Amino acid sequence: MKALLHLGLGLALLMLASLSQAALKPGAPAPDFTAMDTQGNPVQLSQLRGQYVVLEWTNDQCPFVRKHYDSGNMQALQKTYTSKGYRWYSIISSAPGKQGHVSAEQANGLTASRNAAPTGVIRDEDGSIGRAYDARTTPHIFIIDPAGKLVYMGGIDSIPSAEQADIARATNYVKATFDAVEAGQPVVTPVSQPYGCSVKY
Amino acid sequence: MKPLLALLIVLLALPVQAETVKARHVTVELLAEQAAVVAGEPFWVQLAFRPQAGWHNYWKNPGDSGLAPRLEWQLPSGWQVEEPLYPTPEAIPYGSQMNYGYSRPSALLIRLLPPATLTDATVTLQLDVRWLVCADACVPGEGQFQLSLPVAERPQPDPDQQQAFASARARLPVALNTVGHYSAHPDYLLLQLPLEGLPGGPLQPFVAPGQLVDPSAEPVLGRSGSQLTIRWPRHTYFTEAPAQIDVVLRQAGKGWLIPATLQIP
Repeated sequence: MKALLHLGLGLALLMLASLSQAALKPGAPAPDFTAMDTQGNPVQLSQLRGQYVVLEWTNDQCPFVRKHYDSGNMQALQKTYTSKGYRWYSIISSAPGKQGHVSAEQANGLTASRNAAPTGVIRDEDGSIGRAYDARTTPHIFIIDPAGKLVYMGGIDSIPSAEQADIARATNYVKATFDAVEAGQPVVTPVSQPYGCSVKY
Repeated sequence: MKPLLALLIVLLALPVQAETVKARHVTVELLAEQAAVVAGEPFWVQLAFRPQAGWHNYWKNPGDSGLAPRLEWQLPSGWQVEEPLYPTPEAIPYGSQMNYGYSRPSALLIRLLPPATLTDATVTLQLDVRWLVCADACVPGEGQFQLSLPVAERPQPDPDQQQAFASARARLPVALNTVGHYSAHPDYLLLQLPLEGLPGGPLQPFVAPGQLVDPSAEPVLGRSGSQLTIRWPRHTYFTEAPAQIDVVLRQAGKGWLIPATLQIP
């Protein structure tokens, strides 16, 4: 009996281990998380079924992030897709004292001053959401379908650079992903290498 | 005004064999090994990066974040340029993440190929470079470099530059005349490299291009017979295995380069 119990426990542990290491890949479930956004609204990913969700890792001091905000590119994407009812969360995983770490008020100030339009901004001070998604750069984009599965993960576009001039020449993967899924087509590039600054865990 | 103009004309006519850009947190210099250009004779230039202490620039595979320098040449017609040769990279960890680059002075070596005939007395070669240097923070930079070299009948190595080129060459990984293989498995890449030419003792591997192996995952190295095997967790963002990859092995500041071709398992 004891042996059986041990076996059962072992199996359960194994299953837990494989769950926690569930591969992040298109078609796989996006890791669930709960958080409070900077406006004080609770966010739970698994409660957002039925909607597309974009997760955007960000750090306002990072030149790669600035490329997409100073040009208005990120805000335009946020407006386009939140106006369709999709949810867009900007996530700041900078630890306290690290570059890009902000208070909720500062985060809201950044949203206002940059004329940004995410559904919400999430401060992930302990890095738990970032680690669940293995977010490595800012920006780093994940797109989750209405069933809660990842449909895209990677860079915001196809040209790794800090130059605004490259935006127009690049393939924007947020747009490409939504163009495809909205047309019922497969996503041509469901994975790309994210580029940018390291996430300041 | 007139003397100034005259001076300007003189300056413009002078050969420019090296040009330095002092940017934020890094000094970047382009220099030519030869004092003159000979038609049909390839020659080398180097693009040297000297980051401020605590800062680093990047290898061609920058690792988990960062960015390799981007070079755009504007050359007269008929000229060709080869891909830059990168010095042996360093592993530069940031928390649990890993970057590959250079925290000390380093230089890319680049071979230029002039056409078989050169009609002008002077050639002007322009290079636009964009780079990224990071400490905790990252700062992108850019510079325009222009070399003006006289055309000559025979090569004129510039003694002033020999030291810079000798030390740049010494920092390149030694290209071994061997070829390895690699195969892509669902969770890892398996590299099999001939041990010939490699030293005993621990070796630190680097793979380019990016998006193949996970920079922040630990590769497992083993030696069996005449082979070095490296089992390295696959990059989360792996999409496809190229026909050939570069493997650099580092030990005590030295490096060795072995290409590895794709084998379908």
